[in-house]
Amino acid sequence: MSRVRKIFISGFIILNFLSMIRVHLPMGNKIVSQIYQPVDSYLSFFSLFQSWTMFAPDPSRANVHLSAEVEFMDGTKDTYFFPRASTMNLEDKFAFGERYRVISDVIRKDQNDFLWIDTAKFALRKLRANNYHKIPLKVNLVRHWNEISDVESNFVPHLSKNTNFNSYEFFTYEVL
Amino acid sequence: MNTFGKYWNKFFFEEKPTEGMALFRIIWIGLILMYFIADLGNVQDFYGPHALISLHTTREQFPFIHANLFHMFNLSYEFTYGLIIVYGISLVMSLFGFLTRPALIVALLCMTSLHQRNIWLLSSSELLMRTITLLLIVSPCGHSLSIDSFLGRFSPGFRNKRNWPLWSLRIIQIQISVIYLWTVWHKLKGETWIEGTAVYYATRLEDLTNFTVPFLLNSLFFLKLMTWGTLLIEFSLGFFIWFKKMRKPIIITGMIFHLCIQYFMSIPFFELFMIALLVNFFTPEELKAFADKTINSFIEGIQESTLGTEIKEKIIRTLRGQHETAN
Repeated sequence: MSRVRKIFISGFIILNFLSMIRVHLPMGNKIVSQIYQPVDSYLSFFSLFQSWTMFAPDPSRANVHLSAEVEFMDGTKDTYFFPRASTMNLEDKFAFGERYRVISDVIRKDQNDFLWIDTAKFALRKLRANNYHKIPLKVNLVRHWNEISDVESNFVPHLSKNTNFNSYEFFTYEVL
Repeated sequence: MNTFGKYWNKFFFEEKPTEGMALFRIIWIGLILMYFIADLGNVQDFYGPHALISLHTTREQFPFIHANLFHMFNLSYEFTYGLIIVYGISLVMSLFGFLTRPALIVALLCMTSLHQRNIWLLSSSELLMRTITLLLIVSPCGHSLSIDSFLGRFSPGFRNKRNWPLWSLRIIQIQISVIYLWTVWHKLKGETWIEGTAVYYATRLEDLTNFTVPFLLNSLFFLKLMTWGTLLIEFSLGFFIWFKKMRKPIIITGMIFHLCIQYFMSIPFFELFMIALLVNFFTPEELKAFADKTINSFIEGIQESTLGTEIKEKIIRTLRGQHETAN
């Protein structure tokens, strides 16, 4: 292998190594950002920012799911429950359960409020087939959650399900 | 500096057989193909014009240049399904190693476009898919066990060296280590990992449960053991795996570890991807021996079959020829 080729490949090796540690360096730091400009372009292009924080620093202690309640002009209501992996078979969990789990966890957070209108419209579309003759007035997005009991005070047996959820209406989308 | 240069050269540029990378290509792309098939029913909800998150929102949130073909065309079902068809074809081509590098480039472009269409859906599995597929492109994964290497017997355009410098495999290996070491680092900052209750909480997340082993998962003693064991195994997979004597036991332990997680918890594809990645820590010689053995036993099976002599000979010649194409 020629020397020039080796130098070029060594550069690529270093670029990859730098990209592996990027997220763990201060993102706002001007000097780091200057040094990292080419690495950042590479990472953003393919969306490769790596954090690898699986169940870290601590696993979540909340079971969360979302629903959307649609109010129609005739005074009736209908509710769309976003799919929950906990109620699915293995095949569906692989196909879309995990994705709905992830996005429900994203949507419920206040800092992601830019996703709420889309979410409300999506729920409206899902309920349209059953309510095609009705005029929707508004969509209320509701988050439901319960917390896993403390291991010392109330040990929860594996696979037992807590059906008691707290609910909070976090967004209203006015259709008309 | 000279010594460092020597080590660098030996570590990254020593030439080794490519069968190992080819085997990894088949396993990796096979898994992505499984993911792809499972994902086919999600076009409407996740990628199409009426998906959960609109393309308008995606564009607003990601105004910088990135690999997303959805930004170059008008969003329609025709385009979305077209992209998925191209993605599927490129994955099948990559799996069989036909025009391997261009096929992998197309597959990565389609994969990244679909991922970036609705990035809020994604977890570490999809990040792994992009990271490793990108590295496969620059690897010699199509140099053997591929249609390309078979065609190389007839056309010089397809002819590739069977031995190749290790650098792409090394980047993948370093990447795997980094994943384990970072996750241990982050976990050590958490209270539950230190006090031993993290596995209790993780296995009680209802959306992530799969099957149970009641005695194990309902005993605080074993839950604590599993929590600390996770840290120990993950650290070993990131660090001790580089030591010759410990390599094989750690690879096997890592594979069993990920299989156990897959059994207890529903984390689709991630554990399977990690098991596939660990294959890269077997040496290229070991993987070549495995590939040789598999092909030889396949040839023996054909020899013993009831197929006509002429057909048998043709198949065996093809397999041997593809297998033995010289450097």
